[in-house]
Amino acid sequence: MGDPRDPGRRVGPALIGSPPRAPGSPVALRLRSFAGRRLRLPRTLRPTRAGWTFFALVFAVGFAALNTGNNLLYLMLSVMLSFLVLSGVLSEAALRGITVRRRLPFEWAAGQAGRVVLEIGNEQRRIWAHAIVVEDLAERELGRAGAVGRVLALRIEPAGCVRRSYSFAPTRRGELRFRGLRVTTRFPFGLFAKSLWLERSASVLVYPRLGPEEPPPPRENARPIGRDRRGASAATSEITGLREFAHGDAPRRVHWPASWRRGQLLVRDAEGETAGETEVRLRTAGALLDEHFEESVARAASRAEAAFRKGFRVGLRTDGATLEPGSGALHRARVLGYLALVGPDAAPPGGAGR
Amino acid sequence: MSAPSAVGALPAEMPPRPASSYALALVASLSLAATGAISLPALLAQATALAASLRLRLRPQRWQRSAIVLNAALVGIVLACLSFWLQGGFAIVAFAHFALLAQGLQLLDARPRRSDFLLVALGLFQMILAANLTDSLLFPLLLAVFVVAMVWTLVVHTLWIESLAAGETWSPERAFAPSLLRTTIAATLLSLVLAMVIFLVLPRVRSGALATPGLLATPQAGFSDRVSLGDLGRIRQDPTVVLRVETLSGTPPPRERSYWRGLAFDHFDGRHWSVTPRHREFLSRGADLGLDLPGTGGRADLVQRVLREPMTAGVLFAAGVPVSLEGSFGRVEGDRNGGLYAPDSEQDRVQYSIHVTSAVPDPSALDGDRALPPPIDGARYLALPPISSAIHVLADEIIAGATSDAERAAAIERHLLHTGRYDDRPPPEASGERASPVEAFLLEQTAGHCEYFASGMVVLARSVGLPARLVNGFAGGRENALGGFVELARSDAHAWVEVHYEHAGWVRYDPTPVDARLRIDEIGFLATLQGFGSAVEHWWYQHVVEFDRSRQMGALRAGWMQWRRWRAEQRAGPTMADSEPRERARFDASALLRLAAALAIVSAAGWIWSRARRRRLRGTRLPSGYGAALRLLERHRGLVRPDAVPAREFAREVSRRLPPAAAAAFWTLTERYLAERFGGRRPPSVRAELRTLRDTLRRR
Repeated sequence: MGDPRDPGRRVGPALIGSPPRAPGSPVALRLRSFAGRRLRLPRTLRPTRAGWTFFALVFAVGFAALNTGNNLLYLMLSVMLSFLVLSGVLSEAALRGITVRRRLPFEWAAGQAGRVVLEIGNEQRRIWAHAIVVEDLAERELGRAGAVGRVLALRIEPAGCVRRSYSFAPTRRGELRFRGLRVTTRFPFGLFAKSLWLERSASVLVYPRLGPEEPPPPRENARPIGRDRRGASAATSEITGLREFAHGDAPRRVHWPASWRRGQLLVRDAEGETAGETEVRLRTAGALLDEHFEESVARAASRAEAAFRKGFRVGLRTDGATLEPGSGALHRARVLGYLALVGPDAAPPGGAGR
Repeated sequence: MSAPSAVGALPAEMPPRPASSYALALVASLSLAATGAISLPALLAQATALAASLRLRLRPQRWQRSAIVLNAALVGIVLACLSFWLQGGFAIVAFAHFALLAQGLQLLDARPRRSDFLLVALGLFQMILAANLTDSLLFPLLLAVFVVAMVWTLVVHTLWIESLAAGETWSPERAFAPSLLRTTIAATLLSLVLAMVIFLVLPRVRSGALATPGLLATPQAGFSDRVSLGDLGRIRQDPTVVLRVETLSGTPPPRERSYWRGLAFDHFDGRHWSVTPRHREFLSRGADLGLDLPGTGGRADLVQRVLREPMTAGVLFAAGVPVSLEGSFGRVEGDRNGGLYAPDSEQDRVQYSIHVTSAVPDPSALDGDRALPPPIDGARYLALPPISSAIHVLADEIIAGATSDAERAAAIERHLLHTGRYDDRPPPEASGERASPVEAFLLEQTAGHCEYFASGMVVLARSVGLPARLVNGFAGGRENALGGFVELARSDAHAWVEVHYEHAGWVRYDPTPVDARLRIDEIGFLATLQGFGSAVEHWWYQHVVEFDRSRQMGALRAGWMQWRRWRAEQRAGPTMADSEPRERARFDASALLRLAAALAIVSAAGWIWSRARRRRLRGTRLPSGYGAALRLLERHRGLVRPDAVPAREFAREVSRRLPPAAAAAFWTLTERYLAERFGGRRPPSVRAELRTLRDTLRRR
């Protein structure tokens, strides 16, 4: 498994062993998702508490009008029914033409809040959209979709766009799947909540919880450990090639002439600027997928992160797989990404894969 | 991973209610007040609550947040309304009091709240109750204003509650924009138009599952089956409109000869007239589909539609001898004198169409006819109360020389017309041995109102053997050219006489001088305005209040026929045969075009004027926020900015004399003023700064 955001890409040391399973991806979930997409109504309408009160009043007036034949009660009933119709029309006008784009954070670790940006656009040319609430729905621990964020756009001008963001801290590592966006408005009278479903599937890998840990000791042939070398000059290091820019790469590493020629950011991949080499070990064989295992994964990830910060070349070894030591943002993403998905191995310690 | 809550925590400080909430409460209260069902103390309490809540809108007091105080007040309101109901008041009126007072309390409530919908619901409830308690023309006007206030309040409320749910700080400046105003105006207009359409098509069914007494108005007295002499004189002091009559076919008689007959009285005891026997004949369960009236035999030559106000005993009026009747008023009864009653409609305004024979027999044709009482039980039309023999002598003197019964009757009528003097005041009480005021009227001073003239003629006629009876009703009236109807007020109440002939039947005689009994037509702007108001009211009653199933079906049928005709024309194309309909269609189209053109011109003119005004004001007008700040400084501190002093220098000068908060606020206002005036930038709202400045200056 390569970069979770770019699978299949082989840069740097390859992963040896079978890729870990994502925790919990049952068939029923997919079936439900499929059925949901197929059977979902284009709009859903749910009366609010005020709406129920209004309904009760409408029924009461209707009954009174029928009972008495009083035309002024019929007039009141007409006004109230017109409010209901108008509520539907205006809420539809507010929802029609709403588009939402989601921008996820580059990196997410369990327990750390990340900010998700939603760009809410109104494609209508004349009509303003009012009181638009967007809920971002993601599959969570139990496989149910739940809102992880909720933003409000009080008004959006025609052909305009507003940016809103919400903060969300995932509680566990692994793949976080975003199902879609529920766009709701209670405009104009607050009697109904009319919703529109936008299918915007996306997934992001949540790294294990990162805490303050010491890096593992360097290997024997490693050079002396210095301070964090990532910020140091790379003038003395040996350039081994160019690779695509990855989140976490220092801007000074960008090779501007090559980037200009290729039309994409390329960074210099250098050897010799690391502080040494170290390996993070994680026992996976025979373990249970429980709190202890999660703690050990979090500890391993924290130690790896600390080692990267110190400037080590970091390798990862589990009972089922080995990741050769490497450095740089891309390798870091690979290590943490692996730890995000790793699960216990069935084989006992010392089995295959070592 | 915790899902965000739908509604965030309640803020400690609530934003003030929008002004439209107060407008909504005021309109709802006015609607209830207009019904006349609300007691004065309740109205005063509501007015006080409204004024106090408006005054304390920005600075609520501690007691306004106290649950104990507010709940105690609510319990008090509930108990007061319960006691009103238990003391025999109508439940609906008790509800109206509760809704009114509870809304006042809700306005005063400044506790943190998640929703303001309760206020709207209470307002709506009041309007519903008002709809049940009145049918005044004021109601639709108040309803239109209520709809405007309700739309705006609900829109603001929705935006506010969404901000609260999103955990944002509510800022009206951020929420309100011209787009929202446009949306609200469009929503209001659309809701009104839509309401009219729904009103037109809603099926009219009257189940009457739960009978409720009518509370619309007090029935008009004076038209029951027993009246006292002098009743009519009192009625005639009142200008309230009682009947509105539209002629649907036939030619109505001229105004001075127009009579709308109510009840005829046969029994006179010297002071009171009554109908005998009191038992009425049941005619029909209803007249929704038309009712042919028995015993008339004649052919209708006049069809009129009458809108009658609530009337004692549910008397129905007709401009002649009724032949058939159509209307929704329940049971129909008749008495032996030809009087018609709809007893279920005593407290209701009703509308009915009535076909009558209005032809008056030719006087020459009566010469050969004999005045004889009706064959069945006719002696009662000849019965006299105990009267002085002088009446007989007088009657003989009057008819001396007359050769036929018709001449005799005409002589009596002529005598009273020539010797009597009309006076709306009743004649003085009978003196000495006079048993009846009619004796005094005939023998001492022939002055009084129509009831005395008519009673006098009946007594004189009966004393010479002519069978006669007194008839109550309306005469004359005032024509409303705008509405195309004749309106009859209580002051048009009238009494006249009918004499029975062997062949001609009952013939009308009116011994009251015409010029005195008829109302003088008022002219002038006020009268025109009154006429316009009456026409609008008539339209309202006819097309909205009395919009029944038959009218609904008629309107829908007419619409359907119009559409079919239009479709047929579209398919057939122009032919010679249908030139007339095409002319009409062309006329309609051109009228529509003219209307559209007029609207376009008015809109364009409005747009040009508004644009020019904006341009004109852009250079000269002081931005309203800064202007208001200058006025506050002048009013509270006497600080006036001289013309020659630049704004910043004035702000600097003023800052030394003001508290820091006020100085800072005024400085911000000055900067925004300069940015708008010279930077061409549209400034953000300065409401907060103005409020700070005003509050600080007020505190001194």
